[in-house]
Amino acid sequence: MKMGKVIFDISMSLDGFVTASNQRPEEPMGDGGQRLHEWAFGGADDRDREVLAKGGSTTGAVIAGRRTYDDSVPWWGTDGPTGTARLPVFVVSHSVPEKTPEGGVYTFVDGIEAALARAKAAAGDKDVTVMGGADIAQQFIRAGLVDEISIHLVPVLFGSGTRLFERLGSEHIQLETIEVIETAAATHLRFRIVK
Amino acid sequence: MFDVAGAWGGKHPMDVPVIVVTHTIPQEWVKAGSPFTFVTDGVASAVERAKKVAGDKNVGVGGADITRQRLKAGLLDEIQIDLVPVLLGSGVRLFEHLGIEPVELERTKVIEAPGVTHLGFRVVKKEKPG
Repeated sequence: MKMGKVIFDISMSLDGFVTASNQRPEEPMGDGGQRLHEWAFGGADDRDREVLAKGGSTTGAVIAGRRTYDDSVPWWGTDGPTGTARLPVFVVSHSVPEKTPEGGVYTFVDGIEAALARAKAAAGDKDVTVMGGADIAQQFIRAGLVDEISIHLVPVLFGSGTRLFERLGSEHIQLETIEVIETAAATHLRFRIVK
Repeated sequence: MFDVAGAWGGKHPMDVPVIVVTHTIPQEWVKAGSPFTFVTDGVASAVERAKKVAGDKNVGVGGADITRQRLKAGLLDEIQIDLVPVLLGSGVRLFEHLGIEPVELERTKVIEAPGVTHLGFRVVKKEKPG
């Protein structure tokens, strides 16, 4: 059976931040952090939407961290981050929240390996997308569980916020650039992790 | 950077005049015909000197710390990054302690080459009030 890939996918400022500063439940992306997602909403360039659509069509399951879930579930509701596609979301969490949306797409799994096993089973031959936050991404990369890193590089310097690349240890991780799609709103970079 | 590069063996790889921002001048490089000029009164002064030398050409800035200082001082027009596909995990970060408000950029260049992606950005300067 064809196995899907594990892809970590996130939008990042040129100076390496995946949220702006003052991240909090009311502003999960931090102050002004929605700037990072402008490319995905109402941009003038069809290629931005194609990047988004392609990611949607090849993904079979999503993994998110608990904090990302807690911050985002008021917006996601029962359907989760993929909207009407209703792809299953596996939340890495030590506990199951008391209240979850009825009929929601969410499953709470303790530990990244267990979450990945569940997500792979659900995805079948499609890809598993790890959507973050930064801490979950670091855990996945450190554990060598990621096949590809997909960065939507947004032309802005935040100066502060949540860094994507941190606490990775000092082992060098070699990558291979497999795709570069440039639009005015973002440079979409895809890297394969050389194992 | 001048020290780390060992004065590039006496000549910068681009074979251009180099303005070095420093607190202490290495006297052995202060001589006739040396491509190096040492500036001890800060980044802004170094930029002035470099602009004079460059005439209508561009001034290139190297080194993470000096780049940060220039960005913070609003003295940077463009940022060119040669993005190499490797995660180092530790080392000297380019973008650290910027102490800036968010700065909008405009992407001007993307060139894919084997083993490197060249990215160019223009710094969008805020309109000065009034």
